[in-house]
Amino acid sequence: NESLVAKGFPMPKSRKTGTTIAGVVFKDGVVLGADTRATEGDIIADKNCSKIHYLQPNMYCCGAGTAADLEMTTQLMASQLELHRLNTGRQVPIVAANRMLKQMLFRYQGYVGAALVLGGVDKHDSHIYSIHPHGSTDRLPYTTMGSGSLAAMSVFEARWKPNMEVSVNA
Amino acid sequence: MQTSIMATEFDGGVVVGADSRTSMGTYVSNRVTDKLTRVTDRIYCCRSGSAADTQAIADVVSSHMEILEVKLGEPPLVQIAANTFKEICYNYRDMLMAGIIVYTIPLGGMMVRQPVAIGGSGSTYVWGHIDATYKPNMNMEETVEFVKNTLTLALTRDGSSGGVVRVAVITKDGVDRRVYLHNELPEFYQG
Repeated sequence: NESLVAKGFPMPKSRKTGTTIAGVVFKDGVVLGADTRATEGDIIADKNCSKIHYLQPNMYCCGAGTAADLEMTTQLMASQLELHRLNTGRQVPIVAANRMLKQMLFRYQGYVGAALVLGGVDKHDSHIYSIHPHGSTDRLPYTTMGSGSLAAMSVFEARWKPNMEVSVNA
Repeated sequence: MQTSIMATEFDGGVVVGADSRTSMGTYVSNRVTDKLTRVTDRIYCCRSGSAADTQAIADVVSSHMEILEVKLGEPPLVQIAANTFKEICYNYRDMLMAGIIVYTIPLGGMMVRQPVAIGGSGSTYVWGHIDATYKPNMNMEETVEFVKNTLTLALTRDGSSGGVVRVAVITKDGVDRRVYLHNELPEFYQG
């Protein structure tokens, strides 16, 4: 790679999604939200990309960070979770997805640039987890990630209450 | 994850306590973190340093202890948990940033048994307080007060610590988890 750069061939930049993603627990479950802009430097590469990734019928995962890492990680997780479901014969609990994600990200010591908001409902409870690229996770009633996380968090901190109804979630 | 964590023995059990702030630079990413992590039903550890590293280590040790419990037929000793933490922290010391109190295992992997242990960035502010205030043979309520006061002092002075004070009282009968919100904490000189 370095020899190519020396010859004048520029390294392709990994496309990083400047992003706002958020997740919140409410009375009957969870709400996940994300913007749809994917940027390549200053250019908008995709005006309408989907940042809420399917994992299982009862759980979805919002992703911020390196677009390729997110796609690959969530697709890998989705298939592993499906195998888990078939193996155990039951709905996959959210803690299982959380464990699998954190163990994978920790193994790569932060080089997989995936910052995730995992949310879902299983037979025990409704869950929101924020998962950082190095593999630390926090279980929280509401969380935000991405470059817009501070702005989104300010809204949550001002307005979140426990056990909100669907219609109030703006 | 800079922190204030501590643990104190009393006659009949242990009181462990921690603040609840996880910061990423100047941004507090989680203001209600639970840094008192279950290793087994009767062994808890306080985590400081890198959140990812300490969570991963605690998970490994916890599952190790579960397997050991099946093999031994009884819950494993704290020394075994502490030793397992030490093995991991010491052998991977170059790659990990983890300070864990089961007994006390600071960065680097040294393991020491003490009646009182404090750790994390906030601990530097309260060594003097511990030396002045700790008495051996306190009962449970006195120990909880001691832990609460010490953590409050550390919290107020350390920029990397804050939020609520989480305390867990572990006795042979079980674990009593408590949370002290900001308005429930003792007041000290606010110079």
